[in-house]
Formats: sequence, structure tokens, C-alpha cells
Amino acid sequence: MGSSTNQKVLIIGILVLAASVFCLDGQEKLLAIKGGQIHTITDGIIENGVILIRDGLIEDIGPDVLVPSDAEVLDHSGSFIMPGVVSPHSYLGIPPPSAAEQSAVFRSGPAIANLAHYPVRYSIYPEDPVYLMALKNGLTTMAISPRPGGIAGLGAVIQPGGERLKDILVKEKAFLKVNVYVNTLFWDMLKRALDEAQKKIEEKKKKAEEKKQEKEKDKEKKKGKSEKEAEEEEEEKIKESTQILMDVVEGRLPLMADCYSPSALSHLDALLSGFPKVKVVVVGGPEIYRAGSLLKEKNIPVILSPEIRTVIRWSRAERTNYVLKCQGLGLKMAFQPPGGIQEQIHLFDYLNKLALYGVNKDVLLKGVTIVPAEILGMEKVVGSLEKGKRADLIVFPNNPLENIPVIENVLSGGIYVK
Amino acid sequence: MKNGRWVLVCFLVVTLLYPAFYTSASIFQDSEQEAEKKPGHDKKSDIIVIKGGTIHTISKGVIHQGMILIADGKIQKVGKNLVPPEGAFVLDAKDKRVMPGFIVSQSYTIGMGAPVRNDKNPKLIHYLDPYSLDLRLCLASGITAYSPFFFIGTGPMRKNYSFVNAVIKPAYGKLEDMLIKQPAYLYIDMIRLKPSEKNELRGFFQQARDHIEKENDYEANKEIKKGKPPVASPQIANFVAVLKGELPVRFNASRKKEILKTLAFVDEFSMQAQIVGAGEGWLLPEEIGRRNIATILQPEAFIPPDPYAIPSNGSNIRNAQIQKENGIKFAVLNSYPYIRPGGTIGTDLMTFPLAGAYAIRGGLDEKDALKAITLWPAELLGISHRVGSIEEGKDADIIILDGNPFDYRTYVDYTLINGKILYDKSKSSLFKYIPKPKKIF
Repeated sequence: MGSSTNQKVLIIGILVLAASVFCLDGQEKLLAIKGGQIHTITDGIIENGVILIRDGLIEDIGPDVLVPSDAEVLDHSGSFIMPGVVSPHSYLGIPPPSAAEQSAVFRSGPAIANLAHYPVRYSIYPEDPVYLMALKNGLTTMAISPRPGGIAGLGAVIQPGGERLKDILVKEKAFLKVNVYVNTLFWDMLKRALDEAQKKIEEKKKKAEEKKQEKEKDKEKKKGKSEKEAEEEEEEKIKESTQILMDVVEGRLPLMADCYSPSALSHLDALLSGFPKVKVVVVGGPEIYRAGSLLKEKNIPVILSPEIRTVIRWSRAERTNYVLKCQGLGLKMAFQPPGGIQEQIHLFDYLNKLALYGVNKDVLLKGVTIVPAEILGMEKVVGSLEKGKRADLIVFPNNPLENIPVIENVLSGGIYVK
Repeated sequence: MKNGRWVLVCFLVVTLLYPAFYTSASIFQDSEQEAEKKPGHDKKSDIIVIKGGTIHTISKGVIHQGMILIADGKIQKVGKNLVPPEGAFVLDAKDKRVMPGFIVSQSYTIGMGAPVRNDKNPKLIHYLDPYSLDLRLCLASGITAYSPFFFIGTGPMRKNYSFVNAVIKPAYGKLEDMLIKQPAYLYIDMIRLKPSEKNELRGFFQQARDHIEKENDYEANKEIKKGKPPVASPQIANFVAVLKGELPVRFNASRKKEILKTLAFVDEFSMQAQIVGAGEGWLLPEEIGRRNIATILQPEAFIPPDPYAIPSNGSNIRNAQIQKENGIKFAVLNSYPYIRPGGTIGTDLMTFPLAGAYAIRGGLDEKDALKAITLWPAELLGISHRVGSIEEGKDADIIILDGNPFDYRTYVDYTLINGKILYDKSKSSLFKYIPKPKKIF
């Protein structure tokens, strides 16, 4: 017995040594970036600072960081450096609905299907060129949402750059996407789904309590195995979609609600009044600021398109800077351009224009980095330049919100992609 | 080439004139920006006192220089020599008229989306849009309750009777404050009702009558027969309510022929009926009065008379007065019950009380005309226990006017719904820019 364990330890030791030797080549890669103006987002601006990157993560950041002699030094002094953009919600790379599907939706009205168990990752094609284009334009982390319609499904987070799905997929279950419609059909469907989930949660709690009591009563009788089996059987009975909705009701999974109009938001609020634990994120339209007090009261973050849009009311066209209005109300905002890759690559042009029209620059930069990272539950990995975070950087020759935004370089996980 | 040049010219003209269109819309834009600022008082003082105005309580006469005390969204006290509590927000209504908000007994779909095609069992509350700008127009014109309805289906597939209606308060941005009652009545479009639909209705009423008989039977033999009380199927539950007198039935009928058809239908089943329109109602006031039917009149609507008819028919300005003389309860309504920022005064809900003014021109007493736009519509909708007059314990839905409500020059200064100031003319800027005209008459 003794000899065999010794042998095992030896073999494992040799393996570990070998692995460390093999890995040394990769680990040794040290990168030091000298920047002119480093916007850390969470910790202010560092003038003439240095970012030290090891193994794709930020090892150190500050004005006087000691650069090791073996580090590769890249001189970007004089340029503007900010963390990579986190895009909170888009349909990039998801195929559009076919003609047959569209006509089906037209026939039956807005989709009222409950597709809570449908994960969007099956629709992601990792080699799609749109992801590389987005990456080259600074979108280093992206949340991909399933196509709209009722309870649309589970959104995923990807960090493009790899060739296989497992290389780019960061989070499989990032949020549950719901498109809110203002009609009785949708209301009934969502209410029924949430009620069922709530009922299942209560049943679960009751059973757990009963089991506890039973265990206390007859500790002497040991039926451990049979009980476990019974538990497994019961868990299997719950539908997958209900399981996900249970997570939503208990606040483990955020609910991303597409409320284009403020009335959709007020109806959603009325619906969720019985479920206080639900974490809501709102994807808003140009008039969402009307329901601003509701968003402010419950501290709900809102994802907006960074535009100055023309809306028609009372048959008159009117230009609204709704981002400025939301800023005035003190809402927590994240930004995501509408539409496909053609719009996504112009993110900084949109932001530049809004800055010109009086939106706070700090709000704009936070709205594309740390706020969406918080929405996706990834604030410890991406969203700002801090020690231990992923080395996603965008390098501009000068401040993109004051000058024409031209991206000089993009780093994703410490690797140059542009 | 010529075409191309014309296009260019048109384009130039449009681009040059665009600023002109833009400025014409400016008052509405300003009002938009002001929507964010909350009008009225700060939230700290929950008690509001309206002081110094002429209070038209509708049900209990007029109080000059009176005071109204509002707390928790309800009217607490009304009287002459009251002492306002400390810290209360005082709304000065000196030289102004204070009265309950106008109640529109029937309207088109204001402040809501269109029904979905495949929604077979819609509920009106799920279609409401509390952020609709139409609601702000309602508040600006002094309307504090209205009753929209829609039919199920469109075109030839439309069912010409429906329970999809409600009584709504235009509480801008407050979905929880909006609904008063749902459904409020059974609406039957007597003008377009097909014979097949009439038979369907008869069937439903017959089933409902059978159900009521079963219920009565169960009540009588409760002790002998042991069992569960009969439960109405959801399809006929509302019809049961109609036959029990809990919900009224509204018939859309205007011509004498249609009204006679309606009367025949009402005679078949005992129900609480109301006739919307009733433009030729002045021809058969005794028939209507005898059956205890209420009417919703449109005194301004014109119905062309038939040139060969003896005695002559068509609309009559004295319609409201004739109904009054025959003891018929009625409410008045504009000919186009919809709201929009434009249009001729008196025709739509922007100038709702002018419907009463038309009735006054036909000989109706001003006191009754006031009731016909406040208390009587509330009674017809079955909500008079909550709104319709200024009484202790009722909802604080109050408007403050700068003159006689039946004058076309009068504007609303303040609108309160559930004790909250939702419209303030001086701050909302919808009509802020219009100066008060000097009266010479």
C-alpha cells in the first residue's frame, strides 16, 4: 500500500513539473503598455501611467509601475486608453426570422410562447465575421440575446476571438430575455409562468421543511438512499423552463425586459409587484424617460440606444435627446446601438455626438463599460482597468468624445486584435 | 430632366419651410419638457386644502367662499368655516369655480393600444397606456373619468356586442390609480347588429335566466338538497350580472326605427337599459320613460330630417329638455367622443362641457346641465358612490375653473385625481401661453 501511494505522488509530481515547464513559454509573456491618459473608469484617470499585463490579465496599473526587464514594452504615450466595451444586449450573428416565421407571427399576433428554456448559444456561429468586426471596433465582451417574442429565451455572453464555441462562450445563462407586450395574451402568459414558478418554490420549501422534521423524528431509521432517489425523481419532474423561471423569481438570474414604450414598463411593474426578488433590467425606447420615476424608485438599470431620435407624437415630428433627459432623472444607463453590425461599429460616433449635445462624458464611458458589466454580473472580470481584471483595452490617439473617434488599437485578453 | 428639377424645387421648398412647421408645434414640445417637472406641491404635505372658491357640490348646492379638506385621496370635509390643519398645502381658488371633475359616459379608446387580433378574451386594463399624451389632454380639459370600449374582431368578423369596456381615470403615469370598474356595461351596437347576433344574445340571456332560476331553486331548497351552489360558466357570468341588474346594457340607437327595435328587445328580458345617441329620442319620450331607460344624448349631433315624414323627425335642440320633462335620466356627450389637440370646439372632448351648453340652449336648466356632465354619467356608469359630486368620503377628483364651465372662454386651472394635483395650467404650459381674454359681455 505504502509503496503504491509513493509512486502515485511521484508520478503526479513529475506531471506537474512537466506541465509547468511546458507552460512557462506561454506564461512568460509580459506586456507593459505606456499610455498617455488611462481611463480606469472606477478609479479615475491616470496620466502617463503604465499597464502591466501578464497572461491576459492586468497585473499592475498605475503612474509609477516598475517595468520588469523581460517585459515587452509598447509605447502608446500621448494616447487615450480605456477598457474594452461591454455590449449589454444585441442580436449580433443571430439569423433573422424566416419569411414563414414572420408570417406565423403576423397571423397569431405577438408571439406568446414561453421559450424560457431556449438557450441562444445554439444560434451562435463562432466563425461569423460580424464578431471579428465588432471585436476590431472595441466590443470585447458581448451579450447576445435570442430573437424577440414573448419569453424569448436565455441570453449568453461571449468574448469573440476564438474559433470554437467553447473558446468564446463566457456565460451560458446570463439573463432571461422577455419582450413585453401590452395586451391580455402576454399578461396572462407571463403571469401564469411566474405563478407556476412561485408555486414550485413554495412546494420545494415545504417539502424541505417536512423532510427536516421527519429526519429529526426518526434519526434511528436510516433511509438515506431511498430518500435521495426520491428527491432526484422529484427534481426531474420540474420542467426546464419552470426551473429557469424559478431562478428568475428568486433573483438568481436577471430578467431583461424589452420595454420599448413606458406603458410596457408600467404593466411589467404591475405584474412583478407580487415577486419582489426579481432583478429587472430594462431595454428602453426613446420615450422611456416618462416612466423615469419608476426606474429611479426601484433602481432599475436601463439599456438605451445612444441616439438623438425623432419621435412622432400628435402627428408632429419631434427630436428628443432622451439620454440627456434620463441623465437629468439620475437613471443608471447602459448604451447599445440599435440594429446590426453596421450600427454597432459606430458606437463611438454615437457617443461623440451625445457628448457634443451635453451628455456627461463620464456617464457615457461608464455606460459602455462598467454598467453593462454589472448588468451581466461580470463586474469582477471586465468593465474597468483594475488589478486582476481581463486585459481588454481600446487605444485612441486622443479623447474619442472630444475628437473624431478613430480606434488605433484594441487588445482582447492581452492580445492585439487590431 | 424636367421631373428631376421639379423634385429639387420641391425639396428646397420643404427644407426652407420646415422651420415654420417646427415653430407651430413648439407649444407641444415645451409641454413635453415640462412633463418631467412634477406640478403642484411637494410630497411631504399629504393634506391639501382648497380655499376661497365657489364650490359647486352638485348634490348639496353651492357654497360660496367655502373650503375643501383632502387627505388620503378622499374628500374629508366640505364647508364654510373650517380651520385648515397646520402644514397643509393650501390651493387658493379665489374668484374661481370648484367642482367635481367631468365624467364622460362613453368614449373611444383614449390612452390605450389597439386590441390584438387573436385576443379572444381581452381585458381593457391590459391595454392601457398610462404615459399616453392623450391623458394629459384629458386632464387639461377637466375630465377625471371616461369609459372606453372596443369590440372583438374587425371588419365583417366584428361581434357587435361586447363586454370589453371599463371606467378609467386619466391618472397620468399611475397605472394603479386608473381603473375604477371593469366591465361597466354590455354594449350592443343596435345599428349594425345582425339577426344571427341577436339570436346569439337571446341564447345567452336564456342561459343566464336558467342559471338564475337554478340559483333561486338552490336557495329555496338549501336545507333539503345538499350540494354545491350552481356556478355560472365564464361565458354567461356577465349576462347573469346583467339580468340581476348589476350591469346595465347600452344600446347604440339614434333613429326612431332603431330605438323602437331597442325597446322591443328590452321588453323581452328585464334589464337596466341605456340608449346612446337617441337623437330622435324626443319623438318617443313616454315610451322610453315608461321602461325606466336612461339616455346618453349628443345635443350637438345633427341628424338630417326625412323630408316626407309627418310629423317631422331628425335631431332637435330641445331633446335634453324633453327627456327631463318626461323624467328620463340622461347624460350629455359630444358628437365625437375622442380627444385631440385641435378640432372645432364643442365637437370633441377637449371642450366636453360645451355639450351641456348646447342642451342649455335647448331650454335645459343650468343646474341640470351641470348634473348631466358630472353626477348623472357617474350614476349611469354605476360609480356614483366614488365620484360625481363633492361630498365627504368620495374620491378627491376635483377641478378648479376660471369661469363658467359652459362658457367657451373657460379654461381649467387645476385638476386633481385621487387628491393629487396632476394638472396645473400655469406650470404645464399646454395652454399657458393663451392669455385670459377681457370680457366685454
